[in-house]
Amino acid sequence: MGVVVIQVDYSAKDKIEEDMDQGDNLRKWQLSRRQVLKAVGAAGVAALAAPLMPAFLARSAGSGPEEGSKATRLRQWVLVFDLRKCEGCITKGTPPKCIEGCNAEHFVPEGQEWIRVFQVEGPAGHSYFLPRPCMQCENPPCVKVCPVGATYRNDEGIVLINHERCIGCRMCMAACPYGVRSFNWDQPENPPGALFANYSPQYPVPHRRGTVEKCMLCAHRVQDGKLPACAEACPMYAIYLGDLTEDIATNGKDVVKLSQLLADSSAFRLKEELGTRPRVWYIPGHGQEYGHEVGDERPPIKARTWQEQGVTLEKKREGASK
Amino acid sequence: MNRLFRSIARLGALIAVLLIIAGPLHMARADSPPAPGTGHAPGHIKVEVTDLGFNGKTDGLVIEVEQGQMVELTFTWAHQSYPREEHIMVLQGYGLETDRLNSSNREATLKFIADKAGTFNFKCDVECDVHDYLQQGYLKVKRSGSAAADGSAKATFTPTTLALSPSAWVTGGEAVTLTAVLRDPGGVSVPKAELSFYLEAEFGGSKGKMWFAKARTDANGVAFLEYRPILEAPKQTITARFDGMGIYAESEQAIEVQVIGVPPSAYDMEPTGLTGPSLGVWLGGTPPQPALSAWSWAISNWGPLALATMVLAMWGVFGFILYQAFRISRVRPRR
Ligand code: SF4
Ligand code: SF4
Ligand SMILES: [Cu+2]
Repeated sequence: MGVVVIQVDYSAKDKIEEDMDQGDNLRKWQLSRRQVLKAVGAAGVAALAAPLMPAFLARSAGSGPEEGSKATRLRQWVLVFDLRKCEGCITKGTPPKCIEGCNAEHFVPEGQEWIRVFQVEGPAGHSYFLPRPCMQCENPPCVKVCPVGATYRNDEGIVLINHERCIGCRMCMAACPYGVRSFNWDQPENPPGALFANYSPQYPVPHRRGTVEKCMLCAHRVQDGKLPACAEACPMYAIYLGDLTEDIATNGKDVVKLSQLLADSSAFRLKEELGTRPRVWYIPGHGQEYGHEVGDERPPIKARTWQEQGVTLEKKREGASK
Repeated sequence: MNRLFRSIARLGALIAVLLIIAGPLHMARADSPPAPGTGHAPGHIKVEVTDLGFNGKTDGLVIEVEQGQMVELTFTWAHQSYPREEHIMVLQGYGLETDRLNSSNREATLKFIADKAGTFNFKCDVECDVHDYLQQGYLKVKRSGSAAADGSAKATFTPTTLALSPSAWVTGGEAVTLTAVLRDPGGVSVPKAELSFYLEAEFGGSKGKMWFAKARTDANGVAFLEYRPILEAPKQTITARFDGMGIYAESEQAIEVQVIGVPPSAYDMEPTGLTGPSLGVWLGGTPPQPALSAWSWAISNWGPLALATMVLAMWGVFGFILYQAFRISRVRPRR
């Protein structure tokens, strides 16, 4: 190499001399390469440790335990959707009431559905309905990837988002295998008076631009011993709220033993093989209990937003006090 | 293998015998007496379990009774060529079953009031193709317009009493064995009765009776249930219920339990995350041990600092690389 350099630079002696010193330089370079290797190793270790950061952050933030339940024992909430009863509110001729109840409860920004009702084709070519909220995974990928610890799982098994922390990187949206998260690209419309509402991850109103939103199992309601808004709105009593610690569930009508309900009806969870351990179960069916015809191909009607339903904060407060 | 061979041999023999006696059997069927159990008296029905099926009928015996009638359905073990045969007869629609029938216990009776109209299958409950084929019959309960119309008084169910003990107890969460005794007014125990257990439960704004277990009475009319409280309510009401069966009417009994403290959770979550080897440090969703070791205490408190150091170190490394890249251009010869 040195030879080549000399050939090119033969005219300038001092330069040649300088280049002759390159051996030194090379040695220096080799030395520093070793250092660089070391440094790269250190970087590797740091990179390995990086995925653990959210855990540190979540812990340091004190965002973990959110005491709220009056019960003396921490609950472990679950939802059970009895698809034998869910017929997409088709035979009722209304939009799915669970979505509308959710929209009204949380002033869900336009264009988002925190619980979505899918029309699915069954193995026999029939169609059935699959309401899909957040699965409140026990092993939530969304929590693992959030670089700032904004999304976390509280002690009662509800996955929440701290919108004051969310930087809008949308990592969690990419990580969630169920596609339950939505992003506020623009400032969503908030109900009048919402700006003075007390924001909390359990009840994220007012909504903010540049943050991610999703179903939070009505954390603010269940801790008061109420059903989530979707379960309360379901006219078919197809949605059960359950608690694993007491092994109990209710759809607002019957109180049942949760494990029995799941075992007796071959309940399943979505994408169980991914190891996310969802806290939402489904009981197979196609709305047969309410006379949904197997061949009925009508899709669910589009749900009304909270604006279309005319919900305001005052009306909600009145409703709550009654 | 032996069993399979026996079954095949038996089927073969059966077909041969059938071919030979097909004619006479057919005649016998034609002039068989009218279905027993008619009239107002309790229907005593006898069914012989023979080598060739119920009462020698290979294609299913049909018995007719009136709705509301008392029925005594007696099965008699009457095998000739197969002394080792065993059967348990079940009438599923009425939730009844006999004891095991064999050469030493040759008779068993199902006694019940035919209160449900319809056709009910009765069969042998022993799993075997030949049994499924041969020991198979139907009970037709004819709908009666009204009891008064034909002047016959309907049979009445025998009342029962259910006693649940201990009648009241206090528990801190440990299991208790509940004993339920089912008897008729004469003190005769009711065996093979299914009892359901309910808890007065309140959850998510709903109240109701929550079914949580079932148990069956034994020959002495006693059923046991190991009960471990899971509900949190300090006062809990347990109801044992017998829905009625055969000739017996329904009955139930409730007891009150006092639960002190919080019973253990019915659910243990498997932890998710990683353990730092030898440190006893848990990094992930839920810490597995509630008691934090000194190490994890230190780490959870110095977490932010450690994190900052880590980030700084990473940027430092990158900066160093950048600097080196810059140096490379510096050491290149100028021309
Ligand atoms: S978008 Fe917000 S919640 Fe989602 S990963 Fe990024 S910071 Fe976390
Ligand atoms: S369903 Fe998606 S958003 Fe909900 S907890 Fe699981 S990964 Fe997170
Ligand atoms: Cu048999």
